[in-house]
Amino acid sequence: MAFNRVVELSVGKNPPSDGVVLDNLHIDFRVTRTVTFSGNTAEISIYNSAETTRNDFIVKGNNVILKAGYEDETVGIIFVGQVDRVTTMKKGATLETKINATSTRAENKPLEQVIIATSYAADTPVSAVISEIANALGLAVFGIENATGIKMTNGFTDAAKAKDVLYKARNILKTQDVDLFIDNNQLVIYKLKGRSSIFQAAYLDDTCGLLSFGPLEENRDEDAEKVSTKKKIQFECLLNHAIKPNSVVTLKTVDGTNSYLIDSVEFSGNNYGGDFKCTCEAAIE
Amino acid sequence: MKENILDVFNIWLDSRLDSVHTCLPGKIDTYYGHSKRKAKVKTLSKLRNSNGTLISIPAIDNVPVIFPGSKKFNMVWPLEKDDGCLILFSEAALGGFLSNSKEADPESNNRFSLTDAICIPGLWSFQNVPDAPENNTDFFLTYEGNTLQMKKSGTTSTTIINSLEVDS
Repeated sequence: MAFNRVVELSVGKNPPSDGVVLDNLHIDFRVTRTVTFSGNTAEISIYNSAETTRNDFIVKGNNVILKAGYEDETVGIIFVGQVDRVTTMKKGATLETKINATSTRAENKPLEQVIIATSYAADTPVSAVISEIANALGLAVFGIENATGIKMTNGFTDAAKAKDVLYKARNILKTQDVDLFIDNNQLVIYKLKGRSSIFQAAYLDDTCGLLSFGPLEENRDEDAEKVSTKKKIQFECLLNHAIKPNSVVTLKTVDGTNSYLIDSVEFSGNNYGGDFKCTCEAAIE
Repeated sequence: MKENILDVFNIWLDSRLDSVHTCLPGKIDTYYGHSKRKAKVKTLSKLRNSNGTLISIPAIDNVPVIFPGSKKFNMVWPLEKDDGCLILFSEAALGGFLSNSKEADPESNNRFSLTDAICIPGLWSFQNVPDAPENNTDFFLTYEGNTLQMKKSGTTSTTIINSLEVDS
């Protein structure tokens, strides 16, 4: 029934075991996760944290895990990433610490720091490179079957940051209308055309979490080149950690009951009042 | 430290250039023969990326080798493991070209990639230059114990094949 919101922020070198867990302070958050290759970010504000917490744990490069949900339902991870920037400001009697974090990297194994040096013979499947990168970064791979049959006709050699190697493997995938993105600790491979998903995230209606529903702004555009956006919608619902990019959400609205694939989801809210919701953009499955 | 916009662009450009490769010295790891003119090559210079990390590049396979030639003319010579070479990196993916006889589409958008290497034999470090002929003015073709030497115009042309010397 969605009672008693829970927000739990773990931050440190390898949280929660090597880090600090904050769940008793006021926390504001805004997390954006999309199918875009490098678009996942979090803005998190905490108030009146201890000086040792700020000095020892909330520092650039440390890992962040943000969980949110309801006490009587599931509380789940909505963001895994690393601290990019920290600013602390005094507002009256309150000390606000603002954390900017990025999520296109795996916990404790940043894409910007892990180096991949690899070489494959001609006609090796591109899935071999992707699996190697995922293993090196500790990422779980979903949708590897979507890369089946895509070969590297001239082989593959690279020696660079994992992000750059992954970008080149992605370029090979894209020639066959397949793409990938990193979402928290998962590397997801999906088809650009005839996209589908194995993740059924939620069923929502106006009695069960759905707050608003409508077409995207682009739907009003009569430009023929934007036909592909005409089936896109946006909706808001109560915060549900299971909703993630490329997952399926079934909505019961006045338009009927339809399933949609999530393009982007923004989790926003706090643990002391006000919004606690997901704002999603999705395309009909 | 406060970074201005120029610093930001420089950091971005440095990072971007990590993935742009032009040419590097290397050596032959495996030569697959004149019928294919293809080799597996190993670069002889590590990369230092924008973070300062040193990276050793693994051997690159399926690399076309350049010998001077045309449809009716060939100049080829033995090529073996550890021979020095220059490795170039194509600005377009080469798989399409290598598997076609006509103008081909690149098989991906990757550019200046280590995958798309081309090998030109004959680049040596100063330490490893092979034995030099007797002077710097004549034309020499040498192969193991054989030497073809052509002197400047107006002087004697000499061909030495093993112990056989022919003056003309």
